[in-house]
Parts: sequence; C-alpha cells; structure tokens
Amino acid sequence: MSVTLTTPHLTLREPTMDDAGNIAKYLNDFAVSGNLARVPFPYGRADAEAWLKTRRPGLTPAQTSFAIDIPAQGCVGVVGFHQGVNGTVLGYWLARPFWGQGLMTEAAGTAVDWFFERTDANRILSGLFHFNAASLAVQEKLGFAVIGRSRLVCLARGAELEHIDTELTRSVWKARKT
Amino acid sequence: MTKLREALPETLRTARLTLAPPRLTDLPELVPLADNENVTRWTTRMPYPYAHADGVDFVENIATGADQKPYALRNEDGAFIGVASLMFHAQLPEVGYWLGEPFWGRGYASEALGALVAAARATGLAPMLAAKALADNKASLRVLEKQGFQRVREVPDDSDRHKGKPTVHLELEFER
Repeated sequence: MSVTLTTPHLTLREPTMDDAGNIAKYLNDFAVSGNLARVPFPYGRADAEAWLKTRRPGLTPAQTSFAIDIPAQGCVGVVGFHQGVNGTVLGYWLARPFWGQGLMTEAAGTAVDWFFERTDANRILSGLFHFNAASLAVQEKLGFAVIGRSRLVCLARGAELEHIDTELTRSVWKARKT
Repeated sequence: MTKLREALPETLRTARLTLAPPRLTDLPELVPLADNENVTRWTTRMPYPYAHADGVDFVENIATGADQKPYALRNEDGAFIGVASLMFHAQLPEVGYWLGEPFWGRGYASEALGALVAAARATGLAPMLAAKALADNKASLRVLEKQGFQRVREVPDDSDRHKGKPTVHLELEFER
C-alpha cells in the first residue's frame, strides 16, 4: 500500500531507501532520540537502512509509517503507527531544525485522520516521556487525553522512565472534526 | 491455520524454559544474540546484520501477524536464549527456532521444540507438522529427529539465502 497525503506545508509519503541519509542525520541527535522509546543512540546510517528495510509492502494501517517530507528538504521526520500490547500506538519524530513551526501537529493530525478513516479502530494510543512538554502540546491539540502513567524503556537513554499514556478516541476525534 | 494460531497457548513451560510472546523488553538481549552470522546463516529469513529496528519489526509486525506464532525462550536463570516458532505460510504448520550461540549444546532446543510440538498436538487442529533444515545443519537435524520428525526428502533450497543448497524436509505425523 503506497499512500501519499498532502497538507499545506508538507507531504506524508512512503519512506524509501533514499531517506536513509536524512533519517540517520536527524535521529543521531540526542535531543530527538532521547524523547523516543525505540530508537538507539548513537544512530547511524545502518540503523536507518535496517529500519527502512522493515517498511516492506503489505503492512496494515496499524503498521504504517510515513516520511514527513517538506519541499526542498526531503524527509525531516516520521509519523506512523505500530502495534503495542494494548492496541495501535501513534509515534512520531521531527528533526530539530524544524521544531516550533506547527509541522508536527500538522503531520500527526493528518496521519490520525487517515488512520480513523481507513480503519474501524475506536481509539489510538500514544504518550510521551514525562519531560516532553512539546509532544504533550502536540497531542492535546489533536484531542489526545492523558489516561495514566507507566514505566517505559527509553533505548537512547538506556533507562526506564516515567511515561505519560494518552489516547484519542474515535468519538473525540469525530466531535472535533465537525 | 488462523484457528491453530489462536488455539496455541500464550505461554508454555518446560523443566527449564519459559516460552512467551516476544516483547520489546526482550530486545536488549535478543538483538545482540541475533546479530551473529553463526546464528542467521542457518535461517531462511533472519536479516544479517541484525539491527535494533529488525528486533522491533519482529516483535511488532512479524510476531503479531497471522503467518507465525513465535515464542521468546527464557532459561532457568531468566536469560533470553532464543526463539521457537510455529509458522503457517505453507501447507503444513512448520516449526522453526534459533538459539543464541552462548546457549548452544545444552539441550535447550530439544526442550523448546518438545513443548512446541506438544502444544500443537494438544490443539487437535494439526494432524502433522513440517520442518526444514540445511543438510549441513547436523545439530538441528538431530534435534528434530529426537522429537520424532522423519526425513521425507532432500531437495535444493529455493530461498534467497540458501538457493540451491541441499535442504532436508522433515515431517512429524501425530498418532491418532
């Protein structure tokens, strides 16, 4: 399944091997990878290529990742879904030079719309490490609500950290669309 | 075979081993053991080098898909030692496994395979199981034959990794 979604400032598209350089450059930044659960640090081109190889055809919406592509820059982040123990989880990252412009909210909101339109899931789970106020702000703008706290391993930090668990229900998503 | 996958227990226990669904928390131990060509070269599909992203893909995509039911293996010390799976991509359910190199030669593969075979049999949904091993993989063939698998043919392999290499196909028929 190859889906391309276009918004005013960016395009969400299938990640390809050509993105390996950008992904390695931008994720090898502790300010980014230190906020993520499943990304090692340091992060090299081999890590990016290994991840891209896992983006094979035939993945379900709940396994789909999009490259966040902006004009003249190429891939500057990723937004996507993965299957967690309790359901589908939204995850994302944006390269540091592009923070503070609302791009992450635009990308994540577009991905969330796509997911609810494509599936009959009644909720999307997400979350953030306790210190990540910027990510919490993104999620609140999309209608995610805090549902609890847990402990989650942060691979880049090699430690288990306090994690704020969030969810967006289909009913909240729908209500905000109208 | 979806029914068989669903009928298999979440966890299995043997004298020394616990078999449980693979989790992200297994990856700090799993990835270094999997990133070893002495392990991957006997397998059809495990990537080499094996990166953290391959481990995440295994736990989140492969292990949750309809194609297989893998179990993470932990030994009597609680250490992650490998993976044993039932796979549903061919006509017969097929067993497969890999063990981290430090854990070879201690009978763990036989123990894990014994549990897997017993669990498949107990569902009553599989009259037979299949297995494959490279003809050179004497250790694996011994483990499979110990569990009652019998050689049915030796043919050149058709996988990308092993293309043309002699591969032994085995089957285990459950008695009624």
